[in-house]
Amino acid sequence: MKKADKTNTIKALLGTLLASATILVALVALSALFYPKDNRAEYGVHDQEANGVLGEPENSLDVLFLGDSECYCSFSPLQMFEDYGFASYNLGTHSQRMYYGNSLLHRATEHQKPRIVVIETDTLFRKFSISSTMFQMMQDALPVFEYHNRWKSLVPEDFTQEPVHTYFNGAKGYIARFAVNAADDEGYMDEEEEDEERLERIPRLNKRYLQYMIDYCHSIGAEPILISTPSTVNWNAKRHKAVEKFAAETGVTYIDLNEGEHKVDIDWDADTSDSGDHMNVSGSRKVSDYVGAYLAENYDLPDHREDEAYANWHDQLAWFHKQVW
Amino acid sequence: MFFNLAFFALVLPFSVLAYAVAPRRLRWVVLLGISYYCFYHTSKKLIVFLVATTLSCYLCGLWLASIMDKRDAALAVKGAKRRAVREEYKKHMRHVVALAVIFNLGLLVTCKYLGFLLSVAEPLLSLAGVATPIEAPRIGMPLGISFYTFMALSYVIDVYRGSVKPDRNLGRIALFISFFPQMLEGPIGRYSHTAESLTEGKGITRSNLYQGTLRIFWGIAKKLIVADRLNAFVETVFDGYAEFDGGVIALAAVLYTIQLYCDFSGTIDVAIGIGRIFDVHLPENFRQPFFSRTASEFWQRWHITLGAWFKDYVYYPVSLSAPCKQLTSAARKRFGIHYGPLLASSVALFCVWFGNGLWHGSGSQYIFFGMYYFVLIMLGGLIEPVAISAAERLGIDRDSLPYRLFQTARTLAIVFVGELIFRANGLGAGLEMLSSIAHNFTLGAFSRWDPYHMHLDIHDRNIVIAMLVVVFVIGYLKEHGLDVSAKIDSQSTLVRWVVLIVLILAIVIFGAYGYDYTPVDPMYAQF
Repeated sequence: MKKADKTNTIKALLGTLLASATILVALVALSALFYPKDNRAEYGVHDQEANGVLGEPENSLDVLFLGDSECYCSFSPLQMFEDYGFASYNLGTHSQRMYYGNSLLHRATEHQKPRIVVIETDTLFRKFSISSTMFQMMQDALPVFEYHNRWKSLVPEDFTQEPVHTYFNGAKGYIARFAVNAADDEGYMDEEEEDEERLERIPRLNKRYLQYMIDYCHSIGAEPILISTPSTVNWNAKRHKAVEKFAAETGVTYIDLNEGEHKVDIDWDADTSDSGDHMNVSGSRKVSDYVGAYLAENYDLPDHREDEAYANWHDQLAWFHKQVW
Repeated sequence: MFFNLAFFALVLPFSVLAYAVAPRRLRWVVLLGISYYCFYHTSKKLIVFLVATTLSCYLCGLWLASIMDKRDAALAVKGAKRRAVREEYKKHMRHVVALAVIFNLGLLVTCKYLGFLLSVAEPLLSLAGVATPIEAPRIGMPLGISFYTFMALSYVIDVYRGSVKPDRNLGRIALFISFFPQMLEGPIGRYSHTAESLTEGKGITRSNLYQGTLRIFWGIAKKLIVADRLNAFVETVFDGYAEFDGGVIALAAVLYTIQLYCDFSGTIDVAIGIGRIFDVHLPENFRQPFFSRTASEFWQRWHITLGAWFKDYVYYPVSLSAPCKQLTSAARKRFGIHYGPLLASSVALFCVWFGNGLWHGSGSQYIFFGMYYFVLIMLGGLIEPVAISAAERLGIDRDSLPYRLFQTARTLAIVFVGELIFRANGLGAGLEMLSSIAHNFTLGAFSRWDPYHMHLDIHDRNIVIAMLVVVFVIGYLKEHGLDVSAKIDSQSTLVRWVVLIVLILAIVIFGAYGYDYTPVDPMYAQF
């Protein structure tokens, strides 16, 4: 290479590096600007219920629940607190893909040290692309990618204020459904003869994410547990088998509330809000009761009911009894 | 695989790196490998269609070469009747071309129109006693089949015409047909234009890398800031047009046209930009179409490569065919020098516009769309002498700015109506929407605009307008001979980087992506 060419190449490389660094610095600065200054929807936070976990006192939660709508309709942290004393939070969000669940898990465990992380299994079958996971990583590293649309609502305080988390969710992430629409549960967990050996495949990328999340849970000292909540629409024998196989291979505890020894006695005429898709309040009471008892019995979870630091949980329970039950 | 984060962040940088480090003679192999990887990733086993098209056109090219060799040998014999020999071999060559056309259009029809053809044939089959309905086999659509089939056929026809030498390198033909940037939406390249640069293996230069990257981000900006932002509104109105008055429907037609332009031309910018990085100059597909003064001119500026393909491979062959020549001659005698050839050329024009409509799909709205432009362009030709003499009598200067603006506005109205029909969910819906504009046009909806349900708030409106001003200014300057991209490239390093960084940050902040938006696939990929 000629000397002049070499100089030009070095110049071009340095220029590219400098420009890349400039873009990165600009994105970091924009991220600070666009990041919502409070974890409330009116400040631009997405999935306020799940992000309410940021408003919980540091290291106050024992159990975290992750998953899609099956999760946030089924597990009621307040009920489990009332009956069994441990403190939990439901990080379920609408149509949650695993990459987002993973992001919420990391977000929550920045200030929490849960002993148990429950992953509701419907999310394992929600497909996603490598682009989505990459985009989630970008959003986690540089929040401007998640909150860029706040350019529409920026206020002077966004330039000066440090983010705070004043919002906490009264129901601890649980979302109550009151409607009652009966389901036909006839044989939804039956194995069709020709399908006896077949199982629905957990998509490869989901499996990798699940393994990554399990490893992460272990690394922070939390026990991962897979739970399938009752659903005639979303659950079946093939999915059960697939998760059972994965759990056996990885040594993770798996509980299926649809069948077998952990089956919860769901009244499909009264306990579902939308013909077997989701649990309603009545169904979630049964699920929360069973799961709360199981976790309390099998894991050494603390009882915070007499703890002064958890006084506001009792206030929330009073509200919960009035509003939900 | 295309136009997503994984492509731009992984596949494209890897391609550039692999191309740069590969020995010059193997660089085209890198491009071919990546092209086939991308195609397989998107279309899986349907890659057999691409392979079949490639092999068939390659073999037909060789076959034509062999016939031409024999012809030349026969012509070299002393005393040969040259004309007769030429005719005889030309006939053979025509058979080969016909074989390539039938085979490849057959593949295209099988993938794209089989369901439609069966639905048309069903009543006849039913009458013939064949049990109906017949379910069309679910084959699927290989990525970009409408685009690469046309490219492949243009190669065979160009070999037949002698404008391209038959290529004995299968790899080069395969790369010409499958080059990954143009696989999604074209442009529909020609062998004579791109094949050589594809296999030259020139190195990646600073200028090409910068210009290519700038063009890619410019395309992404048009798509993400304008097109994808308008998508939810356009979809809401076109899917539920009965709920809206004519004013909103007219706005939807205008915004759909803008969306389609920013989406399609943006995707083409990305393709051309990627090609530029590898020093492959893909043809332009748009040339400021909204500055057109007539519908005919519009189609010389919009989806240029498709129009040029139909002109070269349908219009000219039909209009220069013996029956058409006879018709032209007879019509000239009867209707004069203007109307005679015009009427005769209408046969070729009809074939072009019927083909153009059908190329987009078998839906009735597409056929109507093609016929709409056929009629308008014919009418334009018919009334032109009348318009000229009327303008002269009224003392109107047809080159004056007001008259040119009038022509442009008229053309835009024609385009908006055409795109409304094109986008509508069927011809019936399109006609009902037009009827609503004609009979129920009010501006009432704008005073009680609900940004939440219409998916467009004041901020969206402002950012779309701001971006369109930039697009307009760049187009205007280009129209007047100033290429902004080249101008930027001639500036200092600092200026060039600032422009690129500002463009990237504008996309990051103002792009319609992420939580509040549904991703929109490149719109022409469906065709």
